[in-house]
Amino acid sequence: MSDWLKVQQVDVRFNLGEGGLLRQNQGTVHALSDISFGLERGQTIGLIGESGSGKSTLGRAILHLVRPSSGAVHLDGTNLTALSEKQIRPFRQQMQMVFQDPFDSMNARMTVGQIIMEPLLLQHIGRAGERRQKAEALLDRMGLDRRAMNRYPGQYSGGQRQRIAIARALTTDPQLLVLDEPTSGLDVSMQARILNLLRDLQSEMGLSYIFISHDLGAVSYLAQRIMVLYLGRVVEIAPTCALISNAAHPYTASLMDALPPMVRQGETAHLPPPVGEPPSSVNPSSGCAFHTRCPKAQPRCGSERPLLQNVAEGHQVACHFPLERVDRLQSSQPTGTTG
Amino acid sequence: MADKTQHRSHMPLRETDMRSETTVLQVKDLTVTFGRGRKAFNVIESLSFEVRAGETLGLVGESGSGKSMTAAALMGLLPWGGKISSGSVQLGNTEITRLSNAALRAARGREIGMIFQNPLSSLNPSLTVAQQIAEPYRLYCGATDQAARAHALQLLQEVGVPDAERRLDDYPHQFSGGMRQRVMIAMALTCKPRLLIADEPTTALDVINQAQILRLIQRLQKEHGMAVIFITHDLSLVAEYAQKVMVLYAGKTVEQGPAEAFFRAPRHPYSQALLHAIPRLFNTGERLGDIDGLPPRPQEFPVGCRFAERCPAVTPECLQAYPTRQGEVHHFYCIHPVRGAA
Repeated sequence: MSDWLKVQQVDVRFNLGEGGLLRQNQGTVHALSDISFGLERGQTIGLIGESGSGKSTLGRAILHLVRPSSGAVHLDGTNLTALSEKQIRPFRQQMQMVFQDPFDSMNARMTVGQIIMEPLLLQHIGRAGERRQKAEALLDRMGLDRRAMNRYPGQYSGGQRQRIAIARALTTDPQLLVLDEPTSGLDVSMQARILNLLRDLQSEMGLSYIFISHDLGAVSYLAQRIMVLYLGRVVEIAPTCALISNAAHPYTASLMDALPPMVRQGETAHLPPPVGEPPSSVNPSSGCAFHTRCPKAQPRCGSERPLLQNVAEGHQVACHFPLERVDRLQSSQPTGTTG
Repeated sequence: MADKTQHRSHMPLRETDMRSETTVLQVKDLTVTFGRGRKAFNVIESLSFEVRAGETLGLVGESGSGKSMTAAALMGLLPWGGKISSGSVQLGNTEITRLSNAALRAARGREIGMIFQNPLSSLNPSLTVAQQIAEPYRLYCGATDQAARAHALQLLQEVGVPDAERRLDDYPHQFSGGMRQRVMIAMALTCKPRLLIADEPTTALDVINQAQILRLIQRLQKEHGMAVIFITHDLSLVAEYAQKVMVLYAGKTVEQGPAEAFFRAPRHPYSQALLHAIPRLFNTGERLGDIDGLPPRPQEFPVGCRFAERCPAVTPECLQAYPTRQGEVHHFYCIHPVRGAA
């Protein structure tokens, strides 16, 4: 295990109602349970799941914007979780986040230049002139006009704003970017530009990405490995190619079936999209979290939680009845591509 | 595409099939102008299309292409300063560009349903879901309060809101994004409209909710025999759900035709670019097609092809005059169309 970033059995729990008016604990939200994975330098892992699956919380927990309740996050051999808030600060330069909504994540009263230079200012890096040079160079790299320095984010479109957000994330020369749905509000053509830009930046700077999205199409474009989350637990993790051609968890299969045929190209396991919505993550049941919506659920699924098991090299799934390889071979022939 | 024919084949034969011949909406040379005199500018120009009962038209383009403005013009809901400066919009046998405001409101309430992108900002936060769904039914269909409430319940069940009876008296904020969009659909369907305009109905939703909502609209369309105008920036969704495609760029049609012909061989470079921008699951590591730059603003529309500035195939001729129409049913406006299949 020589992973540069190592996430080990991370749990994040929030207590409800604690400290409120009545000061009684109304239950615990299990936002994340037992999450483990590794990421090498220059690689991308995709986190997939519906809203409420815990994928954004995981991104925050890795950066320690939310403290894991248990477990550990190692970055280049250092256990971040054991450090105090002050000790973590220098590591923050190495890890930055790009948020989903570039409209909400920027102060509308700051100029683009101020926004991009702010991380340097906060970390006391460089002199004013140097900071400015850095910001201008980043704007150039993002394909934005330098005149943006003195303009306000309100003057820019969603796609341009997302590029400003990426520039801001890159000012401290980070090695890891957590990209939280960076393209979900954008047009298809804007999304393509952002995805291409991220890919180029990765190969130029050797960045590692944690790419959070609900869109398997976009994730498979960037990620070498994909982890599927459901209600705060890993249901499947595999190399991208294995996951999309041999999805073993019924949830993954139905996520793929929900994609338009043009995107999924080949045939899938033909599981209908799950009905209804995920159950509450307050005091979850003891069985498989997906059993209430799973088309293949059996009585056992409601009582016994499935553990992650290997189905192939590097391919793990948490399901008592993973989709058979025979089904998958029959149903997942990509058409005209080298899947 | 195979998926679509599959859906169609197990659709029961019923009266809606007979109605499917009727044209619900016919738009000819629709132009919307803002401002007056020298400062006047067109945001959409000479759009023509028709939608029949049971049919879906996919209206495709980037933000700023004029697709939402088209919907607003059809609904008579243009923002202040905008007006339909020429062209005709026929809903059934009624020319709605000539109606008075009151008559237009009544026609809109009964005949056109609309679903917007962001249900939270288009639902009234201070009214219960039952009140909102029932309101148009009382206003335009003359139902009593009781009948309207019963109707609201039935609609909520129809759009698949679980536990509908208990949820009738909930407020919009108590619903999740996907459920809120269902409430919007129930509201749009209250008076059994002949035309449903869905403006980016799933952009804010995750993939599973998106599939659920679009399949729901498709099912309801079949049951009610509605015509649907599906506004989106995503051609992969149009390929799955629409029978006709119209691609807009900077307020003008660049390509239009039956979905089958369009997707077999899209001819306009812009249509091609939109298709190549879609990330597919089994990508071969090939770069996504992206289009540099932004569409021109309506005040600065050039005389020539409006896509010229961003087009990979541009030549000096493209800047001279707007390209003439080529093709009949499947047609496009380009001097250097893409040859052959996609």
